[in-house]
Amino acid sequence: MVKTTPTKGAESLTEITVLNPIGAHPIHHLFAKRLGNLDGKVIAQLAADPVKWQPHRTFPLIEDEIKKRYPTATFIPYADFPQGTDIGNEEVAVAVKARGADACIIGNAA
Amino acid sequence: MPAALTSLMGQGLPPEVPWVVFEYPLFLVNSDLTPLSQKMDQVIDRLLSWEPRTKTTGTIIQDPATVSGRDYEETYRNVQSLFLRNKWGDGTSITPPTTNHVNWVLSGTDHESTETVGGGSGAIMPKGGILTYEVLATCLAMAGGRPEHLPVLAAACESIISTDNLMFTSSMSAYPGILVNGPVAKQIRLSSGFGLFGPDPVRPAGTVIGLALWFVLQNVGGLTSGMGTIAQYGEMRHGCLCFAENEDALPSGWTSYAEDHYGRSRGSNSLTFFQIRGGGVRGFTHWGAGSEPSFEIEMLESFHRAASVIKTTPTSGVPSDLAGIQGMLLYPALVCNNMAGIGWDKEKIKKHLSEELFYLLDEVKHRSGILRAVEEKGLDIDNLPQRFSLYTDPERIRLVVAGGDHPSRAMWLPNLIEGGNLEIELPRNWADLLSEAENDLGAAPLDY
Repeated sequence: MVKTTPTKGAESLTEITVLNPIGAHPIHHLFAKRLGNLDGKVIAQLAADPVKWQPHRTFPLIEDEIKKRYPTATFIPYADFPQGTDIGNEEVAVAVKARGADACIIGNAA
Repeated sequence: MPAALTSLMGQGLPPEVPWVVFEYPLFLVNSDLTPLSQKMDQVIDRLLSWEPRTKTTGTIIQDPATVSGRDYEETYRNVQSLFLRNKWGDGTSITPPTTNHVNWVLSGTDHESTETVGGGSGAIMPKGGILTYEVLATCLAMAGGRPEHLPVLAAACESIISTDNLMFTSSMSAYPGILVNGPVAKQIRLSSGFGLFGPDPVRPAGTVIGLALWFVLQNVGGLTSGMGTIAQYGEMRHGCLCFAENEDALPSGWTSYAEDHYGRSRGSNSLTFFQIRGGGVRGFTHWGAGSEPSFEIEMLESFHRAASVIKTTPTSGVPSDLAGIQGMLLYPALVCNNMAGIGWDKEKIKKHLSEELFYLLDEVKHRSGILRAVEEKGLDIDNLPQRFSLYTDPERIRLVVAGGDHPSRAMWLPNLIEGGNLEIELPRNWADLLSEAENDLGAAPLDY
């Protein structure tokens, strides 16, 4: 809609109302509750590729850094799970939960 | 909107994310990982302490925006600025999508404005925004579209509803394309000839529909350059590709693309949606010097030129798909008719071209990873074939008769992925829309 409104004294004001082109956004899920701390927690790792974007270097470093702060945290390596672009599939999520993971790190550029 | 956020939204999560930013070089070969160690406390804080703002599920509805100014010209300029600030446009002037204007564009469909395109979730990935007919018409209005463009755009978008659109997010700069078959092409002023990819003021439908398609992908799907997509060059995304096959000029006995590949009948309106996965558009010269002893000699030599453009050495030196990486070959009708005149049909053309497409082991042995691959697998390189065919299946070369009717040039669109073929659904008032277009634009051209 285009609207022109005379204003007191000076020039009129023109307005154009435009529709929004980005569409509605559905929120189906909320973020998982934060863990509070990682003591005794089991952390799974998932990798889309064993070497592309350097997960074979970043995952061990992340593991070491977390263990420095939370020595009782344990990890399930990404080699124990499927790799590739299918790591987003429901079957992989089920497998991660079945191994008793409390959290999961997915990388890199997955 | 950064790619990670877009991706999370596409999974139905709220538009917020706890993140810690690392620069790109961290993820490259032999990178310095010190930044990762230095920021681990921030990472752990996000894992353990971050609280999202969004506490309930539901749907975020986007409100209209009102822009003001001292007069229409200033207000119009302010609309342009708004669309760029919000990352809804592309730098060109957009037509303000007012309710009246969008309602006019919506006269190009019998669907209700609130219906989702395709009738299902209407989700355009990776962001998962919902594409209703109103939003579709909004994007088409922005692009300067008219109601008669809406059926083609709707069919194209229906092809991408709920597909992951993963290729569009990647660095490869995949871009979308639309190939139209049927009389609707000429009716809406969509080119099958000169200036096929646009721009063309006499046949503006291709440019307009292509631009609108990208607005849908960018705005609803979240594919904002450098954020929702890391396409390095973008290639043909500006305007995408939208064109028609020159069906009226097909050689006698030749069938159309939609007939060949999708069993459509001649005279029916359909659209093939496709992606080109990096590689741009590759033109090559068809005609020769003019001194060739026969057209056949000229044509055979032309296939060498075609092959030199089509041939691409794979990254590893070994073809990933022995059948051949699908591509779209565009020849103008004049050239096709000349070929047909000396007895060459589509199958013969594709077969001959596929035989021209090979490389020799010596060409790539020292220019690719093939030696490493051979060593890794414990093979003897002397036992490998000396010649690798790039197309064992000539049908991977998809031939379309299109382009300006001139003998000089032809075109190859590499790395083609087809997204299927859909019927183009025309509204009940189609004749009225075409009549209105004729009033506004003059008679539609009949030649191509």
